[in-house]
Amino acid sequence: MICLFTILPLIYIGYLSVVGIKTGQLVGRFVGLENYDFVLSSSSTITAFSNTLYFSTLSVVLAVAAGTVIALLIDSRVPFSKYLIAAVILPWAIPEVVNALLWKWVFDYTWGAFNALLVALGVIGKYQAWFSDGATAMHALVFAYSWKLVPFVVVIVYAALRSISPELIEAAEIDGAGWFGVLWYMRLPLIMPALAVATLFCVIFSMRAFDLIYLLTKGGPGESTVVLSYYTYATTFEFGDIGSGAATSVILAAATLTATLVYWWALQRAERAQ
Amino acid sequence: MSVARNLSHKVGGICALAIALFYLVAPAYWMVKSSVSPDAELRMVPPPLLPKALTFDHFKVILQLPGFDAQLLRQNIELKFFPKAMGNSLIVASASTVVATFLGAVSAYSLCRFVRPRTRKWVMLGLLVSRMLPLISILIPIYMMLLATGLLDTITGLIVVYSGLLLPFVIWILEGFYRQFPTELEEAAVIDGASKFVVFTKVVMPLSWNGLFAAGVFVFISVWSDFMVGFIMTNTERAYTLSVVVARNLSSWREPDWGVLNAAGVSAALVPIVLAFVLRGLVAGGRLAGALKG
Repeated sequence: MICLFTILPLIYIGYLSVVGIKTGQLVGRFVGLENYDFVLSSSSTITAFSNTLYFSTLSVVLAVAAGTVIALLIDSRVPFSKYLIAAVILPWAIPEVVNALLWKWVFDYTWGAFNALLVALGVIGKYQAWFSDGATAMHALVFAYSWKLVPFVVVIVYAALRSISPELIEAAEIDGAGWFGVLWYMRLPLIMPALAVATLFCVIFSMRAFDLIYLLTKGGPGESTVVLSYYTYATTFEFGDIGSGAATSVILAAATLTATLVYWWALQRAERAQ
Repeated sequence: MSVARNLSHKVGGICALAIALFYLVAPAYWMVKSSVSPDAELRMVPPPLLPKALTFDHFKVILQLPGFDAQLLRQNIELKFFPKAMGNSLIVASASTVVATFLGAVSAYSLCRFVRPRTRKWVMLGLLVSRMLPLISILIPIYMMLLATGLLDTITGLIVVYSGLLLPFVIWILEGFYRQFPTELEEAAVIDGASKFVVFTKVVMPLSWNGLFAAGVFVFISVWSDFMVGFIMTNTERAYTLSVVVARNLSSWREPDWGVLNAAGVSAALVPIVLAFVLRGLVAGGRLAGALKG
């Protein structure tokens, strides 16, 4: 079954990426690396690459930062902070499509809550159309996407924080270290491995991001929010160019594979160290 | 000095807590609030923070209950398949859960008992890789396979694909569970003359109920929440899943009635959220120790 749904598709996609083929056919004419050549020389692919890089980096940084802060809060002695765990479940459990719906509504130009909030706080003077400008559309996507990634980071980082022995922290506090001192010199170094794992997972996830982008911007305006996964979809299913789509997905899969192998290598090393 | 410092810490902590809570809950709250507010209230600028009046008209529309406003449904025309799609999602998610969890349990158990540790390590790596691959990369070939077998746009096709896609994940979870499983019971059964199959179905399965349940809930939530597979593998209401119907309405060119659309979102999110809290209760109760490791 796994062979049927992972290995076979992988072999087949590899095959598809080196043949010329039309929709509805299963086999095609061998064309060698022509598809790759075409894909790699097209300016749209370069845009998709740099957009993916930008989108992933920013989402991951935002999600890891927010997730770490929230995990620290849950772990802290602030009253009621334990209830945050229940709240963290929300973004995780909300389906991708509903997540897209929710943010489209929040970012709505005329009636959106985001505009209303920013105007009320005095951050912006008047309502803005977030999805009609390339830069703001990208940042709105990043914001919405990282919201969904946060719970994942919280779970990993919180588990790491709990495994730090309280005596260690107490000892530091007795020695006169302030909250930030403890955080910077003790907690952060101790949870570094967990942060690395969370970051790596977020990178892998964000490279696969598709739903939100398809539903909110369809890559637009122009090509400003086309990322690799959306580009693959559009090439294959909207333009019917299976060869180029397959070549792009092989490249995307290779990138993800590298990240996964790094994770695996780190995992093995950690196991041996124990 | 110390008292003042403590107080400032406390105030700072509570402020941070409030911001975090707002960040996590406000977007979801806004959707729920918009789903139960009358349309006139949704068009207020700026919108009121709390609903001034409650209405369930939007839910009536998406579920097509007696007395619903047909005009509102026409404004969100793709949602006319919502009840049908809800049924589809329920069938697909339940069937995939049963298939993937059962096959996953068999595979994970065999992997732990009958495969050498060195080989097992490589199998686990393979499973991890297949889990991490971008879905779009393997969906193109799967799409073409379904096209060739005539399973495209059928509920059966969806069940087969989802079960196959989630199987590595189930094995990955249950492998950790079975590795910590005591072998003494099985050995006792073998001495009493039970075959490997009987040992698995009569001894191991009943005892691993907790782990299976947790894995099953994960599979159910994943299938229910998925959009991409359903989106690419279906093209009529025969097999549309909930996510696909909501997405079609969301990406339609016409301005939707946002009250109805928000109600659809709330309805689609309700099942996974409830299940997630059930799962959390189980995990917090410690009854699943080991089941979710790794």
